[in-house]
Amino acid sequence: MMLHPFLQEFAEICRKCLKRACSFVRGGATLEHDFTVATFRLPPFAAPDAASFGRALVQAAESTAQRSPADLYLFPGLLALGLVPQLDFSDPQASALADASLKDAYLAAGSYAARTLGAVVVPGTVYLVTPQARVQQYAAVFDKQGNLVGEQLQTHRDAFVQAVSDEISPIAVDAGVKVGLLVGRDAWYPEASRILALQGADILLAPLAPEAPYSSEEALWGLWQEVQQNQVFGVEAGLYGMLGERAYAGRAAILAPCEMTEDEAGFLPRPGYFVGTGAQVATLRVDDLQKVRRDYPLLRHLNPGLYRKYLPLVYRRLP
Amino acid sequence: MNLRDLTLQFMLQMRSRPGRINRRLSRRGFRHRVRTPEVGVVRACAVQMEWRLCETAEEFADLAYDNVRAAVTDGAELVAFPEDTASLLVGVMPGIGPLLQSLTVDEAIQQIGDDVQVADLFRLLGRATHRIYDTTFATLARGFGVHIAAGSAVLPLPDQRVLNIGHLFTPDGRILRQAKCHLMPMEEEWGLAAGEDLEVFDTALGRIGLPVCMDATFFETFRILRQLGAEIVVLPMADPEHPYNPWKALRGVWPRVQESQVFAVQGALVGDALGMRLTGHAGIYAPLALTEAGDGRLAVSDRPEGEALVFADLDVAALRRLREEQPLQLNPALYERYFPRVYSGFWRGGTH
Repeated sequence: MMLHPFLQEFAEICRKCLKRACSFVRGGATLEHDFTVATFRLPPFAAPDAASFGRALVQAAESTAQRSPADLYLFPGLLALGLVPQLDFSDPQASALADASLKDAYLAAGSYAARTLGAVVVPGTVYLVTPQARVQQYAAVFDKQGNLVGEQLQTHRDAFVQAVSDEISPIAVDAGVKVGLLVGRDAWYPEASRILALQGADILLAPLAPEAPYSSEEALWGLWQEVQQNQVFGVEAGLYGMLGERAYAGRAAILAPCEMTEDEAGFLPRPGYFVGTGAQVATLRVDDLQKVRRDYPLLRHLNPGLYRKYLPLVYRRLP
Repeated sequence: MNLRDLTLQFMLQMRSRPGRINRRLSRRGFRHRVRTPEVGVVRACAVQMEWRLCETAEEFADLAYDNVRAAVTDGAELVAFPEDTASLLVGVMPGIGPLLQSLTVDEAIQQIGDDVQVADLFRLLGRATHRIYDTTFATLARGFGVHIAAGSAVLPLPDQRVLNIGHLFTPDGRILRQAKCHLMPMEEEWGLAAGEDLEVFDTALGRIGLPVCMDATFFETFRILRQLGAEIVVLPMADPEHPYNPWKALRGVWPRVQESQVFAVQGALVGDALGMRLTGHAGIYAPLALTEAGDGRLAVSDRPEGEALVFADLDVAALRRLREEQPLQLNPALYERYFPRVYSGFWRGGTH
């Protein structure tokens, strides 16, 4: 029987609403299947060109994949700056301008790594420079065919990054898998994680390059607590060592709501932050995530009535 | 109202007469060591208190007095009690003591009637417990010349809603109130309503916010308070998490303090209460850069059980300097683009 187009549309809306409502009630997730992730703690690669940078990414991933292959590889922030060894961090704008092809090399290497590994790859982050000569931090995601499937600019300023984006959205990296990218300081601004989580990102990825000293307390109030207050998974990669004059002290971790981990500490590979050289691997289990949300539907206790009164207006106030 | 209810209300009125409390407290006296406050520094005390039933107003007043006196003797200008302080006053209801010794609060309520909610108990007791609570803490604040964040009290409003309300009593006689805006599932089951306003209060000690316990699970609370000008956030807590887990405890006030660059003073209710086992540390927290060990903790009780008072000096001037040197780099354009959509979309049955 042919329905009137209006009725068809109405029926479709009802079907979608019902699906969403059911998902909400059972503590559903947009993550539709288990997904294995690998994250790295690495020093900068001394790679002279895009090809060797891509090979270095693959080599690091393959040494991990031999032990446990992953669906996604997350590399540390600023790793690609090893492509420009002349980098002078006392003037990041000038150094980024000095190599306008940095982004192209970063993208080429990321695509190559994803294609070669047959996995989703986030090749860290890279600095870009706007036409107004202001620095941005940028990350890209490649699917397992090597296609660029998502990009994200840092959305909160820091000492270096002065040009930020006012857009942030989840990225579909595989059938039934949406990730959110937290670039640079965004991992310390809960607004970014909340926006991503409420738009359906069940995995937050943070390719970081925090400068030394980087204490465990500093790390904990970053991605760890975003994972807890949004009931999502989190993957942190960290750059360590020297780049130019600057010392980095990143960590790596694969995080989950406390209730999902054996000792309730929120770290999937135990016992906590990885501070060696190499990778951590873990499988993010959708059933476990759904159970946590079903048992304690935390976000159902958000208070939209309250937020409507104050947010976002209150941000225009100077406290 | 039938004769039984009238009799009960009469008894509760008699048991909550302010005169009883005032007489008791004035007999005990308000002399204490006077400390000259440092300019820009607030000495705070967080109270870790074991739950117990107080069957009389005098018993409650004594308990509050002992804690406040100990706090001001050590120089405190701000004393922070735990969440649900007023729940100790459930004991003023005739006959409830023996009932609660053998049953949980839910079971005890069921004994009264099938369609009775815990909120109904608070509606019944509200007027009396409120009178005892207000009289006690207002008298102590005036008497000792100290700001008392008296934890919270579950109270009925004239419109019949029952809210969990944080209170701050000032030495000049003001009573400042803030309803809890994010309820625990248990409180929803009890029939409580959530508040829909947040306020920052100007006091002689600085600008103070008064959210309650679960409010700290959501960054939005502290961010709104910070943007409204809060420097000190007092957060009373009663956490039914047993056994105590330090990681789960880390999901509350500590990260909120770091995100929003405020001080927080957290009183904790512990022990067996109404069929639950409460655990938690009384603590005083600051941004990492303002703590000696760089861990964001100015003072934390030794154990998550038992009674304790912890003290710390809140250097409000240093906080203001930190905010100038390391300002939050918020992005209002980002939030304006997404917040209205994501919050309302979620509420209509979104992602999770």
